[in-house]
Amino acid sequence: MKALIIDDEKRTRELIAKMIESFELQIETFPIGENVESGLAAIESIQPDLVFLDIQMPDGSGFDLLKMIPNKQFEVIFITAHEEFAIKAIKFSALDYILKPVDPEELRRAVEKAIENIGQKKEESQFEALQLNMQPSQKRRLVLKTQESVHVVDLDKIIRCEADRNYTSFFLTENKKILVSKTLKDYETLLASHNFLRVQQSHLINLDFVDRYDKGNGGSVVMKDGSEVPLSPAKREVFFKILENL
Amino acid sequence: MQMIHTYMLRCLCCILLLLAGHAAAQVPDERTLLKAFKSEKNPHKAFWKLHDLAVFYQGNNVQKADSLRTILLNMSIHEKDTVRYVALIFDAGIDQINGDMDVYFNKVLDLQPFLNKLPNNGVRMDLYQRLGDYHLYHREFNQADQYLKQCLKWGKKARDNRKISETFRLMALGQMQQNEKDSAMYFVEEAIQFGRRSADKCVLARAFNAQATIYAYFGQVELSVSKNLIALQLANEVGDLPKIARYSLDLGEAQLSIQNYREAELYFKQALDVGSRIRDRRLTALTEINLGVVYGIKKEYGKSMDAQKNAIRTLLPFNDFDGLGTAHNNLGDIQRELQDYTKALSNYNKSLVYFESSGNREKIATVYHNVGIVFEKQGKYKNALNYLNRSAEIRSQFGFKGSVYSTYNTIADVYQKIGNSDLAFRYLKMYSDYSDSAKTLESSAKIAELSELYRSEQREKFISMQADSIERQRQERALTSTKLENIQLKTNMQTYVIIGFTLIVVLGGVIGFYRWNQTQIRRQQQEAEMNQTLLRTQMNPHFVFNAMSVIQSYIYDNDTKNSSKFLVDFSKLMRLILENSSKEFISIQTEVEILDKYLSIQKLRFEERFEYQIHVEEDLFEEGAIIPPMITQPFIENAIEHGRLHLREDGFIHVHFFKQNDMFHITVEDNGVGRKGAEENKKSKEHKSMAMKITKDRIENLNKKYRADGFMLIEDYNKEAETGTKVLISIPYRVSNQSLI
Repeated sequence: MKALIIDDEKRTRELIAKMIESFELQIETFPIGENVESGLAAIESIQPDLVFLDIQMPDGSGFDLLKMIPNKQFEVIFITAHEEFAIKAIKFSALDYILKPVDPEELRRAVEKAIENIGQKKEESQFEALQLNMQPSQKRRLVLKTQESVHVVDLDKIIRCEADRNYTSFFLTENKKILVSKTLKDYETLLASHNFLRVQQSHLINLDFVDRYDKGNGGSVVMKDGSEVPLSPAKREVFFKILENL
Repeated sequence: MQMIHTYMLRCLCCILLLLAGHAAAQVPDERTLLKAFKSEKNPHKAFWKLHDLAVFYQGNNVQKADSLRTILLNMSIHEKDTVRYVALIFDAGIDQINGDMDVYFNKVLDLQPFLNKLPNNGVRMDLYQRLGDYHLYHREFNQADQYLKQCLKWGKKARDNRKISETFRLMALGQMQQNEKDSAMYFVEEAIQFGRRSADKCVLARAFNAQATIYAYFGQVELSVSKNLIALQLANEVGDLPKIARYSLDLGEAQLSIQNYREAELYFKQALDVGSRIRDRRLTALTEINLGVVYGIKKEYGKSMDAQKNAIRTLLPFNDFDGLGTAHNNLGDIQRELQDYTKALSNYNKSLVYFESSGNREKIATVYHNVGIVFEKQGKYKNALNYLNRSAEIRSQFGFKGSVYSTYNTIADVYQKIGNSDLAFRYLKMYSDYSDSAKTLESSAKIAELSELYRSEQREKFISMQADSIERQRQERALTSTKLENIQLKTNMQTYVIIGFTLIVVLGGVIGFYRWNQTQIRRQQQEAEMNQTLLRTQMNPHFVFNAMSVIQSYIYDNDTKNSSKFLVDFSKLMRLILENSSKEFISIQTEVEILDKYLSIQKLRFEERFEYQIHVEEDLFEEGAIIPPMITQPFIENAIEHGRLHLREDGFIHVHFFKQNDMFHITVEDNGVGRKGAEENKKSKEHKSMAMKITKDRIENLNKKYRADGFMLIEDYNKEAETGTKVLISIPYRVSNQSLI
């Protein structure tokens, strides 16, 4: 298996290569791309299974590089020092990334996950969603990966999310439901700034879909699809404050 | 504080009211104004005297006002912008009175440069309002709304109740044209509220007249009449003849629409009388058109046609397309009554031409409808249907729904006549559907009956209400004056004036101090914000984490020496930045130390792929020169991160500090890809513009503070190959007061 590392700092490239080799996972490392141009050439010649890709490089971003490759036959793990905005877009698109300075444990988890995914069909839709999520004014799309397929969902189609231990169920418009193996907490951090509110331990709702508030049963929120979600007493104040400002 | 403010304001208002009352007592008359103008030798002052006279004529003799406008314009040619503006506005105002709206609005559009030339609230509000009116006239409601909202904003800021009222009035009329009844009513109520507060009866009268217009538009004729009566009463009180004429005309039209012909004739005659007194020939012509209609209804056809023809003759030189169109349409109506269909059609045709020139869709639809009826009478059903359908189309498309139903009714009639009962039924059904939705119109017939009974009663009631409110106002004024007496500010005007002025001075002082305080706080805030952004660019997280990553790589290689050295260098740099970035100036030595550390770390990050030099003129050290911290840093960072210095063998960055013409000059040169090469890259462009903006702001701040002409210049290092970048920053040269070691 071949891993290509593209970063504008030679030291960082070599550091990641050494770390990967120390995992003894039989991965051959190529720390050779230092910008978009040489990165593209390296991908051509090496045909890697896994690409570590720096986001900010002198002649463009890692996203620019990806745009130029139509059929991506490799897994991508982004490397970033501090691009808050980019990290958010990556998370929305359910792609993977590591932060500089590199935590070896984090790196190992990312590599192992990538190995698992290799061989599966590569999803263009995830990268398309990424390009879209990078544009600040565009409405965002969330990528939800399940065992069988990859769903790309517009945020304004999500009515609510419900926790089920380590899984999360997404309830969408048109009565669709998607079960994802990530915790509700993960999605709460991602969606909180997009008009979603965790109204109770196991419920995250899209405030755009709130139909009404019922006082019975200790208070519950009724969504536009008719579903009823309990409102925890601790969240009451926040919930009503937001409703007032809608 | 706020309380004191309002209290003081109130006192001041009372006094100003009294002053205004005194001033209003001296009503100007033609003779004194004329004499004042003729005896004035100073041309500048003469302009204002003539302007006073012209404004007087505007309300009393429109023709004379018209004749003065060219003189005023000529006199203003060499005057200041303020004077020029007043002359142009007066000129445009006459066109507005003459109903030549195209010319009027063109002149308003031409006035727009004054928004920059005379940046004061009055001009801004005035022009925004007129521009809003312009867009309303052309049914461009979004643009109108924008201008009017601006006007409202400034009006509220300046607490100019008259302007606020006028703006609300226009907004209300705009909503009316869009068939938004509730908003129109709301806005016009606001207009009345602010009109009351302004204590300007002219403004209040206009607001009531607008309310009447809106009621009439939505078919509530009775209310319309009562509101117009109030407007008329107010106009009477201030002796505003043009308004009396105008409102009488409006009242007559309202009475006409509810078929109350006797009353209508009365009001039209009053309008005619006042109109001819002030020589407003256009208004008299428009009144004649309406009187003609009344005569027509009374079957005095000859008299009616004479009135229309007379009006046409008068209106021709005014280019009043709407008026001319209406007159021809009315002529057509009478000829149709007389079954002289060829002449009727020819007049309708002329009418159409006029309405098409003025773009008045509502009237075009009316004429189409009338033409359709003529064809129907002639038995030319195909032609009739053609015209009726066009009328219906326009009426339903542009929301003149009140009238569309009568067209549907006529169409149904025509279909019945040609035996197509299917379509006849369909149109009848549409007619009944529409007449349901247009209940206002159905009920207007009922109102006509009712108003016969209630009109006189209503009128008395409203007039007595008006009298009540006048009485109330008088009582209020009496109350304030007795209050003033109680505080022993007795009788004579002089004391009032003195106290008024003292109050103005005190209030001005308070407000001035408040303002000054506010700006001071705002400036501090701005500076704090800028410091924040500065720190963030200098301690760019991207740079920090990347540097840490380099340290990690040394550790991973067990290279203790280098990892320790890099870590220490990095910490030193961080410390220097944290200590110095909030200072306004630092010594040139410190600046060089920071840059040197920064560049050496960056060089290590990039595998020593470039060389750098920092050169400082010796004198600067000796004189103890000081400099804003890291003013060059954004450009250095730019050269390193986006200049692609690593692509060449001999990449370099040169920083040079020197003094020239009492200014501190700093240059940053690199031989990277340059601006053209970097432009392909969006990221670097964003970054660059950010760097430029921050530096520009800093230079501007320094310029303001030290009254200097600092600047920033960016050019290619190698001008032929368009590669590399050279940045020149020029800032005021300053030295430290303490001797620096």
